Amino acid sequence: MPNVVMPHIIYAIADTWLSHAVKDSYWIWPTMETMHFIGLSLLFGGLALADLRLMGYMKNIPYNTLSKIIPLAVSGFIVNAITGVLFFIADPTRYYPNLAFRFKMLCILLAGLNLLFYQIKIKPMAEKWGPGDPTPWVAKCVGCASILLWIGVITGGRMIPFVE
Amino acid sequence: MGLLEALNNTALSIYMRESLWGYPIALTLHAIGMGLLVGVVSIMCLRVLGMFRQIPFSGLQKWFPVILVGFLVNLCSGTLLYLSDPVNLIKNAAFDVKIILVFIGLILLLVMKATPAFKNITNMEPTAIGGSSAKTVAIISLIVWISAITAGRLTGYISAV
Repeated sequence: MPNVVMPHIIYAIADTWLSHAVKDSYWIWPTMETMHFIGLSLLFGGLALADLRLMGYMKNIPYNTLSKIIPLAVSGFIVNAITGVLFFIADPTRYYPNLAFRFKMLCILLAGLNLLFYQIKIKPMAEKWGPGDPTPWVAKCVGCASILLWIGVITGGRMIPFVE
Repeated sequence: MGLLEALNNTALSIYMRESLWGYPIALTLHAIGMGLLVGVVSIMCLRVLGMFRQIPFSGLQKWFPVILVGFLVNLCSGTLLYLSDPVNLIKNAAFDVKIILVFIGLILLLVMKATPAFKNITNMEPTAIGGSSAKTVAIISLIVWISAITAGRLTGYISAV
């Protein structure tokens, strides 16, 4: 996309030592990709279990026990944030104008806001849910939104090479 | 190789190579299915090994349908991705290793289901962990799935060379 005007900082990032180090190495990129996929599995698999319970599936498992998985999912996200930032640093002029990449970042932002809403509104409510308790509609919406937004994140990421 | 070349010339195979959206959509579904399959299996293995002990052991039963959904999505999307280049993918060592590892991973899941802890799953103490057989299977499973993802990633690099 040579017709896209990119801020100067994008070129500055591409000129850093770190950018060249990642791009020039034979192994760093595929190794980071593998880590990004393992992080994806922990993040998406872990959140899917908690979200499905929010949506009313597996009612016999108390939500407060299933939610203990969330920190592991967050650690998957941290792995992916670190490897993701390094991908961007290595090839910023490729990612910055890419529409699939922008869609992915938007979905991550929305998923973050959804998680914030969960922390403020749903989590205090969930403390009182016992085994077998149905979940209120607002919790179902938050769980459903979380799954859909993370599917959006994965879709955006996978589409990056196809919309260049 | 006659069979693979015939496969290569099927309408579906040609569609997966030439259509604009066939390949990217199958690839996306494959990543989503992987997240469900590998993510939930890995967390189940960690629970068997003693993490997240607050989650009642009997609750793990409900995770198998989620794993099955992930597996079915990836069986279908994986078959379609394979059809995009059936002759060359078979020759790709990373691809062959990946398929074997996925097969081993799935067998290990069935083996784990057959261990005493899972056979007795409804009567287990809520905070129970797996016995030595279930724990052994859990550790090997985690290694196998991580290796399968690694081999899957390398498949693209080897075919690109």
